[in-house]
Amino acid sequence: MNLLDCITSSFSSLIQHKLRSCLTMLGMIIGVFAITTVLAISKGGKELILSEFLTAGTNIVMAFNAQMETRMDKLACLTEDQVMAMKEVIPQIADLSPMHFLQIPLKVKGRMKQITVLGVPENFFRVRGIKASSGRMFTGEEVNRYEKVCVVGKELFYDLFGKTKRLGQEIRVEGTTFRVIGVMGHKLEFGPININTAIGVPSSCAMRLLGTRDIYAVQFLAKEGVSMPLLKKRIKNHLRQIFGGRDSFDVHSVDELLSMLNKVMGVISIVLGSIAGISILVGGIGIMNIMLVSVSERTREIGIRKACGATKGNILLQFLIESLALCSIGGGMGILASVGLVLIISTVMKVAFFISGMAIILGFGFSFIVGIFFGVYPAYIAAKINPVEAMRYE
Amino acid sequence: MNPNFIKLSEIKKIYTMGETVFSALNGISLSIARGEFVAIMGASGSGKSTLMNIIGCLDNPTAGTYLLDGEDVAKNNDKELAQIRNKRIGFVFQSFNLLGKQSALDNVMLPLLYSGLLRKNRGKIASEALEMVGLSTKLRNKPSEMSGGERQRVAIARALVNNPEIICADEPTGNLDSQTSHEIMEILLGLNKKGRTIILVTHEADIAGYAQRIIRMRDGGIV
Ligand SMILES: Nc1ncnc2c1ncn2[C@@H]1O[C@H](COP(=O)(O)OP(=O)(O)OP(=O)(O)O)[C@@H](O)[C@H]1O
Ligand SMILES: [Mg+2]
Repeated sequence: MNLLDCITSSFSSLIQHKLRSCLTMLGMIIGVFAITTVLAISKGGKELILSEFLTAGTNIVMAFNAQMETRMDKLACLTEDQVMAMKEVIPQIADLSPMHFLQIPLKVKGRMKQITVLGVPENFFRVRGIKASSGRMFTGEEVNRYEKVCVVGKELFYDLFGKTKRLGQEIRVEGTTFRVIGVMGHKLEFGPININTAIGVPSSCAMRLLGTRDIYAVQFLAKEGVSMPLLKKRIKNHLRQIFGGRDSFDVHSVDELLSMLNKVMGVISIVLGSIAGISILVGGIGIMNIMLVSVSERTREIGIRKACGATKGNILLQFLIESLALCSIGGGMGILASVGLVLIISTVMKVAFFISGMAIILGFGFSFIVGIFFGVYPAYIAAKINPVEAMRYE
Repeated sequence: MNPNFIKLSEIKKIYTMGETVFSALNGISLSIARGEFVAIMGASGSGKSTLMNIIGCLDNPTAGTYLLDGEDVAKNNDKELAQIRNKRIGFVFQSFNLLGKQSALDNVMLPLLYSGLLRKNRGKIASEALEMVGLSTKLRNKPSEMSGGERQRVAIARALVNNPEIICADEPTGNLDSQTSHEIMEILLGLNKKGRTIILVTHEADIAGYAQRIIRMRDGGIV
């Protein structure tokens, strides 16, 4: 009896029990469907977030006083001259912009909220890659002239003014009225402030409101091709020198957030993958259960086959191939279902989710292994059956 | 003609069920010649089927030796025993023992499947066997679509499809009316005439009458 014969006789017996075969496969279908979909979504999601981050600029370093929000007055700070000098001292810096912060209470959707007001020079937006989703950012000219204009983060703008997109509204900051001239486009954020819910005003105005020219945060743009860890290290060392050997400022860059994100996504993938894996396992146990039922139901058939000359090996192989077939067909259907769902999600969400070859191999391979693992025991039981007793069996 | 084609010496079969020990065969010695037609008779529970299954290599004796064509059967492993059952022995049972979901042809092809015959030759050989038992028009029928006599013919076709030397028939007419029983016995007689050794278990004297020799059993022994 060759392998092809084994396969055909296994398949014909699966076809003879269509309903049972389908129900048994269901566990496998769901398990493999889950595992490939989870892999596709988590991978696609990660790439989605990464691409957002990449537009935010992986060549930006932020240096800021970590205690900034709590006790501003007693904190270590930089002077304008110190900040401007860094451009000369550290040749890897292409551009920089000092940042000033104020917290103001503002009524948002009927509730008072603390809102961050960001005093920045005009190059801040260019360095950070922030574009106006409507209106415009303020110019250097307006900064120099202490012009009372402001730009509002997209989220905050919607919360304050609804989806009108009408500019020219006024916001009062510490007794001064600023006119909204633009909306800052939505971005993924890092560092001490979230641009989406912040208000940007000319740095000149912010310093006047604060009554100080002290700088607690600086944003640096790296020159092209500069290694970010190196730049970070140089900035850190320079600041440590200024602050007499203490690390009063935190120095961060997007790329380190990227690696953290990678780690987090990795963990999420593992967790979701394990859940999917467990469901495959449960599917496998279901298959073992059904195969055991099938063996005892077909005791007589096994006896007949043995009387006709089947060896233990023939019987073992037949049942093993049956469970393998159930698992791999189920796995294949799970992959197909997953491909279908991912295609639908991609078109609906207009995001390029896709199922990698790796996910398919993993899903299929896993179902194959489960098929063997949970098929061996029932097949072994079948092979061991004594033909005389089997044919006496009713 | 080999008078010791099948040679059993002091064959015992003991069943242990927990505490109780039951001796189904207690030391049977028996020789059957090649080409002989033997009937085994005896009361229910006397051990006829047990003996038959041992002769057919379906079951192992607890003690004693069984020489088939001069070879000690006990020395064979599972694979070799399966091969003996496949090539040298054909079984016919009272309850037909056909695969219910498969056609007559598929049922008859079963021994060919395990004998390693090429796929393309199997159908032809199996349909020839079915023709021999007069079922050439019912190749595609399933057992449930056939009468008892027809089912038993399928079983006989299956038993003879691999051209075995021995046919073991355990009450092949037990579920059939007397007319059909005689038809079945004629087929077996024909096979015997072609040189096959036939061992038949039966309760009915007229059926046993087809045999050349009758062995009577009682309580696990030959009388
Ligand atoms: N697996 C078993 N376990 C215990 N006892 C068994 C087993 N198989 C058979 N026996 C016993 O062995 C004895 C002989 O059984 P066997 O089937 O050979 O009888 P038989 O002569 O064929 O009877 P019948 O004419 O009813 O078919 C019976 O008493 C039966 O109960
Ligand atoms: Mg019996």
